[in-house]
Amino acid sequence: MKKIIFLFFAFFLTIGGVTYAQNYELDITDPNYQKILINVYNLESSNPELAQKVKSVIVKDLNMSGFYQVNDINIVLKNPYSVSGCNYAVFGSVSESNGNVVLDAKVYNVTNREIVINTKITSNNFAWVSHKLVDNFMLYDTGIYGPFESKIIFSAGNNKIKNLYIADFSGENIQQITYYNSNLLLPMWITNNEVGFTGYLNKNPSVYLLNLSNGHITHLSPNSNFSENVTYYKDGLYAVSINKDSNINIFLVNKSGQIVKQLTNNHGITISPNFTPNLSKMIYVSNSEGSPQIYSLDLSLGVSSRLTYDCPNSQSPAISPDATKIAYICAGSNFALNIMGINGGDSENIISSYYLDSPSWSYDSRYVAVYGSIDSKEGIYIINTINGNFSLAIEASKLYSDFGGLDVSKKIN
Amino acid sequence: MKKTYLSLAAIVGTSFLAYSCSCTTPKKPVAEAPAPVKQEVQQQAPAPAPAPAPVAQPQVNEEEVLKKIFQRIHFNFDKSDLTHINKWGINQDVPKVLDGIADYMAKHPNIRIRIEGNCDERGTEAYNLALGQRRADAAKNYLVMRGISPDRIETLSNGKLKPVDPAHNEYAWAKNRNDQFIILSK
Repeated sequence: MKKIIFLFFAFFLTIGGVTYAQNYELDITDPNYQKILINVYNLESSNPELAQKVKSVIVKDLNMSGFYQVNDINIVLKNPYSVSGCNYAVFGSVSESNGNVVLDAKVYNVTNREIVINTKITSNNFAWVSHKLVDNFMLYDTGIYGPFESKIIFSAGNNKIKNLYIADFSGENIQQITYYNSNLLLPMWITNNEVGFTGYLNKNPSVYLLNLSNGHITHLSPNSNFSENVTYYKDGLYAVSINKDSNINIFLVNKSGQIVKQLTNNHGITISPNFTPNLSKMIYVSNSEGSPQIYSLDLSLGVSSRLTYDCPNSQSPAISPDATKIAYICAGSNFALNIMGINGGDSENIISSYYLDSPSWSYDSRYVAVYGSIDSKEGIYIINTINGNFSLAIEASKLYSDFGGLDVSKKIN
Repeated sequence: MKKTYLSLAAIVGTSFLAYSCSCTTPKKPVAEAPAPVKQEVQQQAPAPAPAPAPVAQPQVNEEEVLKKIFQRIHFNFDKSDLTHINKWGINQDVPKVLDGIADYMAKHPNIRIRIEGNCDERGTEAYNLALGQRRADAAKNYLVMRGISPDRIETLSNGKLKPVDPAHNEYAWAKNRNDQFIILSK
């Protein structure tokens, strides 16, 4: 009898363990999704080191897109018509001219036996010629221009100090842009030349604008002991979450930091304003009904409606540039990146992990950049929201072990 | 026999009275330093006597007392309510702690404090920053309601930037949901 009881418990524990393990397993990729095979060949060049760097970014971008499986072929392709066993072949040459990198690239469609892309791309940055080639190829292959000609601004450092950095969408060209002995968090692109952030530059967390050309900093809410989440609205006005009478609400402020209009009037916490591209709606987070949920405010009618019901802690909403979807974080003991329709509903879990934060869409509305920890690796991830493929773009390092927010720019020409 | 009963009643009554008094009489603040004792120097003394061995006097450690009064107060997950917490290794009557702080601040009108609101890691950066501010404000509003001038209290949100316990479990999270009281001036 004792043996039976023991076996029963052993069976129960095993099943329990498997169930528990399954809860934490990452299973996000559509198993039926067939990746397209691409051979990427060595690029001819009098500067083999440069050619290798350009090629490695092409390989990285194609892999990161989540649509392609890349074979990195270590030979120069002379005759594309001899290629078989893949869908596409990428080859060409790299040269330098007046300090610029010139990529003469060709893409051969193996199935149709024809050159489908034959282009010459020039840039002063080696990674940028690769990004442009991959974006053009994605336009040919998927009908939508690729996401790699954008920049991520992110906050990173350690648990005491975080500064702002800028990198290419796929993680190249990382550049530190602030050097404060403080915490600078939640950066947001305002224009290609201006970013907003929440910083502890004057004791309390407060929102600032940083001009990237001259380094000039503007304090946007000097009259409150707490403000965060600056987003540009229009006509020189910014939406900011400000603490007033112990309730945090969203206000429109001008560049002098004066409050022009109060957009929400809730009890508790109301933060994370996001506007649809046509400025008809503002999506935000409020805990006015008890727990943080995502709401939509119709800016012409002044009417709010709640969008999330399935997750007890819905935070950090981000509207896709095509205004059809909202990415958000379902927070708790485990974190999930979910996507729902712009009017709520059809919520879909894209990825779950130990920690995820600050989702931000690429300009093609297919990818979301988030920071967090996936498979025990901390960093900034690019997630393909169509098939769930995820790639580590910027890995946490000794220089920056902690992150504090990110935002993806519009397409940079 | 009657006498015995009367004596017993008197003893019980006295004890009760003594206990009641000890509960209602405001206690002398322990943190107050004892009056300084003047040491008179015997200048006329013909010969200095050998210095007596220092007598160990019970010293009130002011830092310890202040630490106890201005102890961190704790919160439930995703809340800024000031309530009794009895979960995950924390057992604290938060309003009672705040009453103690209010009493001390009322008796020491020069003391100024900063309340720093802290959160556990189970929330986004943006939400936790706001929640930390709400927690700091909740404690400040309580003290103001108890008669302390708002000018004597600053607030600051640390969000989840300053965890007390870096572990990733319920016990650590419970410790990390707190308000810390920093004494700015006495």
